[in-house]
Amino acid sequence: MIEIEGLTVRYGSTMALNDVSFSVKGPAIGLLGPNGAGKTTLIRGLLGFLKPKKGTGRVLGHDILTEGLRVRQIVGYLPEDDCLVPEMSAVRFLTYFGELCGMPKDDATQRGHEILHYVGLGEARYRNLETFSAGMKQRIKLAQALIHDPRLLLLDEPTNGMDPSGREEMLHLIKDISRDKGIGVLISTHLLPDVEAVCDEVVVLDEGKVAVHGDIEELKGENRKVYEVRVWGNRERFCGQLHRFGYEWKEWKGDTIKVFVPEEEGAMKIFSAAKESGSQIRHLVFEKISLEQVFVQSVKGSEKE
Amino acid sequence: MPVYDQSYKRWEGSFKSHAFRWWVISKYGIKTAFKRKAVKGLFVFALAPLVASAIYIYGLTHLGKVSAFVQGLGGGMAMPEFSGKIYEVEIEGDTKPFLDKLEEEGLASQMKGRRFTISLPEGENSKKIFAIARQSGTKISRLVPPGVKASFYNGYLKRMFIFLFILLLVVGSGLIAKDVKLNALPIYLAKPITEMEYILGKLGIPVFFLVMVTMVPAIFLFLFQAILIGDSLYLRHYFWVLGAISAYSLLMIFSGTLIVLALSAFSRNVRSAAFGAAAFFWFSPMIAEVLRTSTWNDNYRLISLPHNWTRLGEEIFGLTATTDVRWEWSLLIVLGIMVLCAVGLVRRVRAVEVVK
Repeated sequence: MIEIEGLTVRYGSTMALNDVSFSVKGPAIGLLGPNGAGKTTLIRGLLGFLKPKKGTGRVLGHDILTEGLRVRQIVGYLPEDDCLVPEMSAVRFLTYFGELCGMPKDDATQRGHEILHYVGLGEARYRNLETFSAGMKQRIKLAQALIHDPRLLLLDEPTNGMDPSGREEMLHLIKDISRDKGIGVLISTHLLPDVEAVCDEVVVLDEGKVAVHGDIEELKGENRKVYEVRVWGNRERFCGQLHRFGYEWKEWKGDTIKVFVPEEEGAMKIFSAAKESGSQIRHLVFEKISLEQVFVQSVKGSEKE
Repeated sequence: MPVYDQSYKRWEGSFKSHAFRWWVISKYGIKTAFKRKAVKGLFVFALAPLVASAIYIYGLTHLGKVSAFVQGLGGGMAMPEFSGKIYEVEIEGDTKPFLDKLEEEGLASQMKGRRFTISLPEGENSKKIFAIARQSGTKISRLVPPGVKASFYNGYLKRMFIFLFILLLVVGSGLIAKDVKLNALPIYLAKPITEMEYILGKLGIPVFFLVMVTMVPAIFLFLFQAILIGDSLYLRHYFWVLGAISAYSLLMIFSGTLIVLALSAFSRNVRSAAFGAAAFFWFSPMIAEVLRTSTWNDNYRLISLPHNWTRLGEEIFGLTATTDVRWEWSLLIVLGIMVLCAVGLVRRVRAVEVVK
């Protein structure tokens, strides 16, 4: 769905994205990171708003540098900030942007009505946008992103300023779009529960670099137990032994290894692996990883680097 | 009871070609502007000179008495020259056979050298004069039809300056400023349109209104005059005036619109954009006049945008210059302003404002 290769974007002397590379297939991807990590810059780069200093990328097979119009024809964008066109009713606003995307006027009008019902603004169709509340503005922004039936949605902080029930509904809509309607979704947010609720895959950015990237389940170690292990002795042989037992393991920070053990098994085989490799276990902690932990650790990790 | 499915539905249609996406912005902008009472009122009011001019042309063409009356009223005012159903003819060779033939036909005429002023009765046209020339064996070197002259259309367009300025301020000053203020540029440019198409679309809004109150009425008056005279000679003789009307109108419209749009793009505030535009249109002539009268240097008029327009209008319509300012300088300044504004617009209209 999205492939990025060495994307580097500078704002004057500030490095907003530094050699960012990843490839995601969706359908729902979370783009996580603290404020200023480069999430919004990355989305703007995907839309062709920014000229990268170097690197390239493809969105649904189209080059972001040379096929900006094609990318924007098949992508819907929900910006982070309030951004509405004044003096327009909701349905006129959607018809307008539908037509701007190249839809015939009648189709755009009909679809405008449908989308407004879908996002829960059916009753407010003829109200002027200036009178909308913060939550309604988020919904109308989602509606304008959907008007031309895109194949991918880029959502920048989609639940910003929404009350808990509104947020819940918005996440439900996004989930429905990505799971049941076949539209890819990239959500940029710093709200981890939003990503956990909707996404399958996550890219964590920190200070313009990719800190972690992978399946959420894999990163969290779901359906598996995770042990944090430090060994003394022959580490390579120890890891090789784990591999022979069919255990996955991952280098973590320093000399720590994360060992993923099937739910029904305990830590016995870890001890066996140590024994057979002639190593000593110096540290063994069982842990249940949350996405928050993944996020915090990956961000801390990149800080150390 | 059937229940309408309100879930998300895929759209099966196909997108239109990319060619005129900018027109969508113009179309919606024009409709939105027309919803404002001020714009509607101003638009209707700006068409008043058209009605007055049409009545004037009609009166002068059809009713000799009214013509004389109106011209009498005009007195020292700068009324456009008018010749009713009177043709001006210049001939080659001997004038006597031509004059004799005119008398024979009972046509009133005045002669000055080889130039004749011939009055034709209603229902007759230039074919009659050509027939007389043929019969008298005379060659016509120049034949000027009756009706208002080119200067009339130049005067009409000059009189529209004030409406042009006010319409530009009312319609144009908020066009980009509001989008910048409300952060609408990212959603525009996240759609499959380019920055240039956005600018074109915005440009189309004031251009539509200004074309409708300057170029279209002037062309209408020209055709109205040609039809009233009932002589194709008017069209043939003054055909270039159509080009002059278009060129002069478009020069004013595009330069004025680019200035207002550029100011609008560089300001988040509609009022400051309007104030900047007002400075261009009203204060620049004032400053120019103060400098000119204190230094007796006519070239200070170049500071004034309306003066530059006037000077170019005189040149386009082939009229005698009313000032010593060279039209080339005026053109250079107007084109320079247009280029500066266009470059400013292109640089300013971005989905992302990068602060370095």
